[in-house]
Amino acid sequence: MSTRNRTSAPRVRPGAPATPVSPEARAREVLEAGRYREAIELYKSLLKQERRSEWLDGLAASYSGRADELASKGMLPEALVVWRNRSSLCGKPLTDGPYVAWLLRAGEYHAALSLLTTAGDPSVTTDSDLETRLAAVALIAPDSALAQLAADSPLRRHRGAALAAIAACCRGDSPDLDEQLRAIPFRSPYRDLRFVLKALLLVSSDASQAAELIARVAVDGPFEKLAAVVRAGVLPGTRWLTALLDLDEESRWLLLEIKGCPENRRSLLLEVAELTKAGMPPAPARVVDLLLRRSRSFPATAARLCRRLLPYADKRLADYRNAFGPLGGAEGESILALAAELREAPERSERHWLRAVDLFSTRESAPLQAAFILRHLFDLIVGDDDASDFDHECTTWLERSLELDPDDRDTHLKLIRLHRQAQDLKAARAAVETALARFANDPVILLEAVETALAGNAFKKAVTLAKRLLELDPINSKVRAVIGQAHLSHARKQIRAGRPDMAGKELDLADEWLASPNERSLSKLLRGLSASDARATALLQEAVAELGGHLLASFHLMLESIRIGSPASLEMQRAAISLSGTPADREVLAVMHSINVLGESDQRALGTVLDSLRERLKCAAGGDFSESERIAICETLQRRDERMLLLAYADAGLQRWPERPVFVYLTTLARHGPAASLAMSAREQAALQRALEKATDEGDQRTVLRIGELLQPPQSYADEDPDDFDKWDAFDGPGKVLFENPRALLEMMISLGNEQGLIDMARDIVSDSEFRRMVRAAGGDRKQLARMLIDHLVEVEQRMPRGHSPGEAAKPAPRAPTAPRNRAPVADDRQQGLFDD
Amino acid sequence: MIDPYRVLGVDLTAGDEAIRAAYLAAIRESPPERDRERFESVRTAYEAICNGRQRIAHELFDHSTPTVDDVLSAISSDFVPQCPTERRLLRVLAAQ
Repeated sequence: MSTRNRTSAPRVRPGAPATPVSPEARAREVLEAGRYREAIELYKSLLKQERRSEWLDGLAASYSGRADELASKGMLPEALVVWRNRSSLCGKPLTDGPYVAWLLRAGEYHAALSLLTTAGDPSVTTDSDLETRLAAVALIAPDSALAQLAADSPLRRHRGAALAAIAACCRGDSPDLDEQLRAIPFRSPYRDLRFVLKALLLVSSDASQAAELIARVAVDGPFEKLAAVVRAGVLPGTRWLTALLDLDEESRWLLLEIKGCPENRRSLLLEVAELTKAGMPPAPARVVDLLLRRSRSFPATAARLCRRLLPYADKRLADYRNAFGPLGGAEGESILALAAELREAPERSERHWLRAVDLFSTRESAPLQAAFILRHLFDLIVGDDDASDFDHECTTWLERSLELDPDDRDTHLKLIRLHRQAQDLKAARAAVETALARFANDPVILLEAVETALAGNAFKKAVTLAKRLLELDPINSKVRAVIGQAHLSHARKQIRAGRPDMAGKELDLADEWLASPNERSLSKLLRGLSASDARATALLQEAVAELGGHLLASFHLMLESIRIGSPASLEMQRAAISLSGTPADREVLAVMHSINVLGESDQRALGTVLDSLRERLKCAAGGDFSESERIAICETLQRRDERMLLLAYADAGLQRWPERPVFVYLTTLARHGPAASLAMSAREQAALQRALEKATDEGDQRTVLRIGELLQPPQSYADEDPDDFDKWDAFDGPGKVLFENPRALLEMMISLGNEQGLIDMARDIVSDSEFRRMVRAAGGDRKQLARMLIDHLVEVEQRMPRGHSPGEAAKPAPRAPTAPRNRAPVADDRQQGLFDD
Repeated sequence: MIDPYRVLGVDLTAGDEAIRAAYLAAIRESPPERDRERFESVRTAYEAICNGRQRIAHELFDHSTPTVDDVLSAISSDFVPQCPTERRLLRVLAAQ
């Protein structure tokens, strides 16, 4: 290499420092700057003046840097020449540094092996390290290259055994492999081959043993490429795929070869490896695409995976059929239905699922699939919502599913409960009969049968079923209580029918099952109400005394009087109950407990009772309740929508615990109702906002959610532009009259033919039970239902304290809600167990 | 999608007994105190296909997304491990 003309003298650069620099310092500076060609010339000039060792080292370093530069550009022959110059001009050993590696990369096996001879490198005699490094080369070099080595060189002596071992390994001949490897001594340059070849054979059959063997091979040994293949191959799961990417091309093919991957699938494996490297689960559509692109010669498992992922790529159905064969009609519909579910298109999904059901139903062997789909469809469309909000077809899905698969107990139970909740007792009884025919001795089904019988006032049947259930589950306290209550209910029925003797027998039976003193007092109360003679009156007064003699006793007496159809005022006189004075705290709590126990039953009777007791309860609002007791009372009143009482109790709570966000919430709710955001003042809104922040700080998530909901506009207004409400401020004249007269406003909705809008709006305000009662009473006449709802809303509005009426709260005029849903009450831990039986 | 059949190492046509046996073997091999993750995946897999009804429901409604394991398993189920060819092995040595 001649550089004479190009770098004959260092150039003077413009802007260079004016102070003269010594040639030695200049050479060092140029070398450190990585300008190797220039540095070589500078050091050569210096060495012409004097052969100093530091200048020789400088020249060697310059050659070394230059050779590295060339090798990194892939100019291996040029790099080797520079390295040889370094050796000849500076007296450095050839085998120092990367020379051997470059020789191997350049395929100069002859030159590499010649390093082991004195001719190749005079500085080398017998270097066992170098022999070991060249062991792999010795196996692939031509015989002529080996011939230059001494006859007793281990590389020549053990080469035959090493090659024979490789051949045995590639034949899978383990005994021969062991035999050949025994001929390779422990100190031989080929020693690593003994472990590598054995491990290679075990990669797929015994990965752990292969891993143990390969662990004994030093990293960066002469057979590192083979060892790396084994190390990757023994990795578990998909980790070997990731390691595959770290191998060079030849090693990748070798690993795929020993794994048994056919050639036409190797590029796919590499694509999957790339997916693994990304560390993210692959997108289903991408997997479908990968599989469909190379579908030929795939095993059935790939077709199955592709089929399972088709809901994510339903547009590729035709491609799938072309690639993997036809799909059944029902299967295709199922895929499209799932795809629609994934796109959250329930109507489309329903259509496809129903088609799949039809197709499955025609097959003799697939009624289960059809039944499962019908149940899935019910869960998809109805879910946890109230089934009565949906058309009857949803319920028929469950019925059809039971015809196809009558062994599903959960569906029987679901159907019974659905019919009972919808007050369709005839259908509920039929569902019970069907279920009992299948599960005659199932306690859960029997309990549902008891509940259904009770709902239909079939008390005798309820008791019979409950006793049957007790035979199966003798310690079921719930059933014992149910039997006691059934006898009490039956006794009420007999009293109402004027049969006191029969009622007495029922009460005797009830006493056998009733456990709590309160329930026994109720039984005694009914005995007192069953007749009007002196003995009955004495019993009545005795029961009243047991019940505290005041508020609680009045509550039960009035409730039972209404239930048996007797005038409550007369019975109150007969029982000599005095309601004067402020009720005791424990009585208020007991009444609230009784209201909670009633649940959804006897709501009308309860309303009448509360009408009489409202003032007494209000008087007791200032009682000395604990915080949790007061919250529990408020929750009960809120569930009953007793806003006047709620306001009294919540307000008293707020006075007592002004810092508690829950009372701020309850007071605002009581004052303005669920649509408070439209009615409350800026001051109230600010207080509520502060309560929200405090509840957030305290971690009271339930109150945070409730206040958040109260601050939001109601659902029917949520999608409206808030600016639209401005126009209501300008609403005057007849419109103002409408706001002052809610009935006129609501009637106007009917006159405009918007009964449905009114019904939807009322659905959001009226309690579930009340709404259902009116729906049944209207008997399908929408106009009639709308009128009943108007009467109810006006009545509620009039009951409210003036200035806090729901009518005001709902201003401006309500619109039909987009998706009215009643929210399920959220449990409050602080009241847990307080009113439990 | 963690293919329950693959997790339990059973065939698609396996019956209740075979699946239960595979499940018991798998949890014996990976009890929760030794390998919680594997134990959970085995249990989930068993619950998904433990009886005929569950298997039908899984077949009909499962649309969980695939893991790389699922993909690898699906495309490599017919792989038959082989010995290396001499030509390939020597080429790897030559590529040092």
